[in-house]
Amino acid sequence: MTDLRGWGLPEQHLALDAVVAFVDGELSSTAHERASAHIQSCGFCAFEAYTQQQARAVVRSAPAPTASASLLDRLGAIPQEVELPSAPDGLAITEDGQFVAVQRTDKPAFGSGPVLGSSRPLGSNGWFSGRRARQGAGVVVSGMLLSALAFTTADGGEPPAPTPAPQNAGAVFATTP
Amino acid sequence: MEVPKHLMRTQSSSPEAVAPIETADWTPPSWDAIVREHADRVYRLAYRLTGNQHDAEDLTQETFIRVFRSLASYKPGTFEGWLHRITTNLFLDMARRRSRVRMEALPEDNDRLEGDDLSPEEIYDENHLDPDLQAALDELPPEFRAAVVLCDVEGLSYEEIGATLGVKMGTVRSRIHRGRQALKVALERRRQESLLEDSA
Repeated sequence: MTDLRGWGLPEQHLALDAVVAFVDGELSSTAHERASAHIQSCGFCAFEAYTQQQARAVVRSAPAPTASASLLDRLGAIPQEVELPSAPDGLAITEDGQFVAVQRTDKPAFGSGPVLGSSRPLGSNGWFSGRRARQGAGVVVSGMLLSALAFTTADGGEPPAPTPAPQNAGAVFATTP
Repeated sequence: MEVPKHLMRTQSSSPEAVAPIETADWTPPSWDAIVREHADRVYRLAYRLTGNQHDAEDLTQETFIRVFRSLASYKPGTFEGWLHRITTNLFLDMARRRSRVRMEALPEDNDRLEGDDLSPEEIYDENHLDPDLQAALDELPPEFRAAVVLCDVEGLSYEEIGATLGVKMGTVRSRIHRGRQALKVALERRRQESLLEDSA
């Protein structure tokens, strides 16, 4: 029989890769028909196919677990809690959690210093306007405050005297020893 | 024939046609919508891959963190494929790291010792999410498990599985085939073991 069907030697069976593809309907229609015809007359291959079908049925019919409420909360909080190494390219989050496209500039990544403060007022383009954004902005602002403080101390603790900073700073350093 | 073509050309070079189309058609969903729509699917995949609630939640969270961090590279229409890829590859990384740790760790650290407290949710899961199937899945090498789960839990085509795992079609076929075969053997063995226990 098998000889007549062109399957070569009588004990020749379907390749195991073909059995699995047959079961999953991943063979071309001609190959599928040939495999089907062979399986009908070959107990060995029929058993192989049956084994595959059975295992597949068990997995398919298994109940699907669902995400717990606490996990959903954690996932929802990701935008507030995850540190972004750099702002997502061309995307920002608005206050209601909506993603908005941001006009691309040739600006380097967030955090690279003066560019951020100088090129564009914070929050004007929708960058970092969410809760996480406010944290980020806080860091930037406090950073600027620090540097401002550094300048005022360098300015010499005598606010009334509006002398140019370089001179005064030199004076401070000169008087300390 | 010449005239319409010419007209079309002038039309296409008109300001309206040239105007940027970056924001056309597609409105990015809110983060909440992304979570609502995809959390269960990712968790289901993560659960069948890792085999327990704790690891599945970690894997799900890690997947969504990656998603959040690289949303910019997301192209509309490939979200599911993208999620499958991230989840599966994170899982495989984790499995490889753990197997290294297991090899080095002596004595063997059993995750589930008697003193281990399970939350009510975990106990529920262990009893209701077909523990025998999960235990049999857990016995499969991670690469085989991933192929079987993507095929039979997620219903992906061989082509999609190949793209997810970054392997050729022949590899997909043989992993699914051998994975299912091993699964069947493991299920059979467990069934007989429980029969023996019951009769003893």
